[in-house]
Amino acid sequence: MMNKFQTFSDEKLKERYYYLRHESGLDIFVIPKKMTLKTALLGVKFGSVYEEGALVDGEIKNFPSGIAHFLEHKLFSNENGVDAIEILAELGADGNAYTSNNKTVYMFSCTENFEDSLAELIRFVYSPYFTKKNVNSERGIIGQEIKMCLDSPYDAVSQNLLMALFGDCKLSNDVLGTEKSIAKITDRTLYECYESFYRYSNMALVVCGDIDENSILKIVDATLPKREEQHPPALPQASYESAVASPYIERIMPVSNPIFEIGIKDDCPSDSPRERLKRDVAMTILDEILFSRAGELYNELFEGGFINESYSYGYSITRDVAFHSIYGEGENPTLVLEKIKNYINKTKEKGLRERDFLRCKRVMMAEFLRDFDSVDDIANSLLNIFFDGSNIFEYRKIIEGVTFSDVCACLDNYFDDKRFALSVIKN
Amino acid sequence: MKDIKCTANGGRISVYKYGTDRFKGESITVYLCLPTSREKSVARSLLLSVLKRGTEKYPSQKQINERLDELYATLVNLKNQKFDAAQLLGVSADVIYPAYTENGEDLLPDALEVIGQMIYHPSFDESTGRFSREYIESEKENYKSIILSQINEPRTYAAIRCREEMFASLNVLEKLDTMCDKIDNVTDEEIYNCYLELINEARILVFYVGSRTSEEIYELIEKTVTLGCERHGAIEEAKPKLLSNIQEPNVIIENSDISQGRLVMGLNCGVTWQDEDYYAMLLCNEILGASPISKLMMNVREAMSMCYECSSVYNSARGAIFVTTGIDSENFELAKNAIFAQIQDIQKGKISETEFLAAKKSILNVYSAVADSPNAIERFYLGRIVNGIDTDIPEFIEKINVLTIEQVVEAAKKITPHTIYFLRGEGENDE
Repeated sequence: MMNKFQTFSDEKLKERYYYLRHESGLDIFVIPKKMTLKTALLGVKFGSVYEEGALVDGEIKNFPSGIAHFLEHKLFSNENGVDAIEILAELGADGNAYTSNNKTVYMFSCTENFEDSLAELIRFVYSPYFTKKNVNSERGIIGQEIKMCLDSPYDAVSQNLLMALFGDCKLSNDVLGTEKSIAKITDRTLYECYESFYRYSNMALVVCGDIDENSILKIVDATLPKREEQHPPALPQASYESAVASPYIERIMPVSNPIFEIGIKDDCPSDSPRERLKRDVAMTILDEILFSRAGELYNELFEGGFINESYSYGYSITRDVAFHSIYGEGENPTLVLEKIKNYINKTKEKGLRERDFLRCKRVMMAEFLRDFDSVDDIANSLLNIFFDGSNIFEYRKIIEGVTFSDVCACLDNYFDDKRFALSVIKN
Repeated sequence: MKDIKCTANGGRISVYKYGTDRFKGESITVYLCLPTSREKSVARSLLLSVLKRGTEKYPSQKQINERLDELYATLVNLKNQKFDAAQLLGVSADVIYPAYTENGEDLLPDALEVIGQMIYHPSFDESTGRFSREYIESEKENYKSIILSQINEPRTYAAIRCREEMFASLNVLEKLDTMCDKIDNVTDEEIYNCYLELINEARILVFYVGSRTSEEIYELIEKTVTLGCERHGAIEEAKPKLLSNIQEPNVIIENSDISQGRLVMGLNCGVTWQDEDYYAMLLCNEILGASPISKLMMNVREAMSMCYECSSVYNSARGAIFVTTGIDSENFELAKNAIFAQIQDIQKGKISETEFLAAKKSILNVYSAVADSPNAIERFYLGRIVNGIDTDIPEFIEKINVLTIEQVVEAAKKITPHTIYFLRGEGENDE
């Protein structure tokens, strides 16, 4: 195959990007953007949800919970004792990484020495170095990270909501794992896990900033280690019932006022990436109509003193899970849940108004557009959408094409009682 | 400041413009500036929140928000910036450019119309001619619950407690446990009087980031604001209130039912952003606990595996540095001593060339990237404008670039421990 970039552009957004499937199997994206900062993300389709059940070279792999995140911490180590973070810092690049339920991303941003920093990013992600000693010392650090999150009611309320929606399974596992589960991780399990998932065909490089795409290709050609071609792992496909595992979950913590998160479970996501994007757009617009600060519900709850200003809502869909969530703080979370259910039922009876649909569609488009003002936001959005099997400009077209009846259908079919769960943290 | 263009009409309205065409939209904030007043601080905060509840033309919060959605999710935020001499109450709007709207609509004038409504035409109760009691009461409840919720996360709570204890003698901060009474005690009359002061006496400072000319902005602003008849109150220059050094640091230990102990160490350095050695102190803090390879990161987290987070922040308004970490409570002494050792190393000049350059580059990265974000641009310039500091981003970068290790060491010698706060975990063995 020729190593030549294809150009994708969108006239309305006034944006473009270059894409290349490298001969190694690695997908490369370059988004030119006249900004001071330059950023690069190297992502792997491996997060907490895939720790159990992936099919790798004909074998089902089961790893301890928290290993994706542990790997993320440990990949920065080098044989000579100098951390990759140090090398990047010397170049003037701010290196970082994160792990979510469906991916792990290594990244840096900088204003100078971009090419050398990119070479270092590629070098360290593809040169694992794990020993008994360095794994043990990392366990202490991650143990403290786990404790920090255990003490945060905001983390607890979301983590418990996943538990209520999906039950005690890999879909609700904490990305960090537990102290118990990370005790099982050794240098050997890390190597095995690394070799199973960190394959070129399971990864992508996204670069954004004032950068020439051909210079990126040169760096990749020069730094990417030569490997035998490997098949990507077959990631497990989640399946779940539309009813929640438990409608109510509560934990006692020293909070001033109860905090809560309401989840509304959607059906198991479609196999088709395009269908998932369409669902994302229709549901997000519906959320905006029902739950936004311009809507009746929020204003009734706020003016009635049932919630304070700490309020948020959103719809989230990946290839594994899909649900709405509404976060709030107030004395009586159960009553808020009742009010939300009543409000949704009333709206179902009355029907949605088309002018609200048009207003909220406009909001969604404007918010999408704003992502393009930050090199980090664009690079992350592009990677997310690509890992989910689609492309960022397709997303824009789907927002444009969504109809009033698409959104009405979502309201009519997906808000029955069995899908609601309430997670509460109170004193 | 070469980056900033200022247009003013004899002092009452000043428009500051940062010209750029980098973004998909433009941002504007209309600030009303008044002399800082500790007594009026709570009433002013409540006033600001009542202003978002309704206007003559958009009588409810819902109608305001609907209007903003129609204007393509225009973001309107209330801003409350407090400096030693001045307090700035403001409303900001971020709008997208006409090129990205369906029919080329120009959104900025419409967004400014909403801002003008919020500031100059709030909805008053018909019978009293004042702000509605109901709105005031609900904003008081909201304000109190936001204040109280700061205890929820041990990380945040420990940081607040350390700051409270450290600055107690300066009388500049409202304490968490007295704040609610203060909120309850504000009268409707006080809020209304604050409003009259705001519209009649405040100087108007507009900060704009985008591609329009200053003249265009000025014209739009003249249509938005309604100037009161009275003369504006002058804002006296004020020297920041600073702490004096103490012999032995105060140690405060409190217990809580949490998994992890939270240690916050308040260090006094007495150097504020108005001082010449501000730049050296900024770099010193970066070396200590802010750069990716800071001493705290490499020597306390990585070498000792004692914590996940160990970092420092420099409060340049108050001349203080705060070191924060989360540890097993039994490691309190160990962590405290390890952190002190890092500070002493800097004071003794034990700074490697690598640490020094990485810290410099880390600051340069952050400040070079200011131009990539409208919010960061406003944050950078606003404080400097208010405090009369004439340094733009290129000048700032140059001042960091020329610093030497010796200058950092000299600055570091001004650091003394002041307040050590530890929130001890009592629930650590519950697992």
